[in-house]
Amino acid sequence: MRHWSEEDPWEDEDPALLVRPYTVTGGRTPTAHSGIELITLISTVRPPTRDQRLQPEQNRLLALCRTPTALVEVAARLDLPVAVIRVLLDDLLDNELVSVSPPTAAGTPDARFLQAVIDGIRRI
Amino acid sequence: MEFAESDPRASRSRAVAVAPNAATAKILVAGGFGVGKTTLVGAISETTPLRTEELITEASVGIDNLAGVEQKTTTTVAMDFGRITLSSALVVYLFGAPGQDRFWFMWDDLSRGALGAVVLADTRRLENCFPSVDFFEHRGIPFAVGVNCFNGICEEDPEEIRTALDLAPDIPLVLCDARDRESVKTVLLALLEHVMRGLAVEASGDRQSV
Repeated sequence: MRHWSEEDPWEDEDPALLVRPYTVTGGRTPTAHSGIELITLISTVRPPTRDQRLQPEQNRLLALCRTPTALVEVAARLDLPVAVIRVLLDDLLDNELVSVSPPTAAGTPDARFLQAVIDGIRRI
Repeated sequence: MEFAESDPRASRSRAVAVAPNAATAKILVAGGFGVGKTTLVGAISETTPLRTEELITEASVGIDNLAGVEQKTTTTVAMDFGRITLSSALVVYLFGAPGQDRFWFMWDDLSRGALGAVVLADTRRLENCFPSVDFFEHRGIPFAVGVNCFNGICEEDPEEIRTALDLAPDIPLVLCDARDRESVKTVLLALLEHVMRGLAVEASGDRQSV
């Protein structure tokens, strides 16, 4: 650890920390695709075309989601709040660059699904 | 969709490629601050527990006297979670719910669509898990209590703990070691089997009412 006087106040190990969430989202809030839950899997469908100008965070998201990844995990791995990821996803979904897994059934789970979870946990 | 595809490599490091349309399930881990929620998640997750920090805007009341002016503060709430890939078609996420009482509102969001919850209890601070038990009871979310004791050895009588927590007789109460993978599996299975029994009761109730 350095003494405070040796630290450069303009230096930051992670430049992303200097960026406010509303800068990343361009001040927008998520609206269009509201069915996306914390555990919805996001999967990259295809890389962006040259004329699709994406933000660096969106490119990172596309790289990460080549392996289907849940919304909450995307947020953790990109070190951004879930709400910000939702906004970034809006564009990517509109441009069909990513797909999302079907929403989980609300309310009581069905017995077959539950049994698959039980069997799976017994097996691991 | 076939959930039950078997592949032993699915364990620790997700050697199985997950399908984009795989089904996902959510289980909550609740309990007082410092009871070992993240330890439990880490014991069974194939990844080191991940953390996401959410910015929450809270309306603060009674901070000052600016009548009519709504004061808002932004707080960061951390949420730890882990992942268990059961097959290419089924992934389970475990969420450690934020322990502080003032973040209860987040639990409503978290518990939506959850299969159920594990309430982790520590016999030295049993009262710390009362709010979690209350929360799940009131919302009708199925839960099981895991009593965290080292090596699963507990000096307390489980029945006394059950009485102290005022648990209904059908709620599973399991002694466990949150650091131990097999022990955590036992707790999760106790919860899931409890959820399954609930489904069976519900189905027979439906038949009777017809």
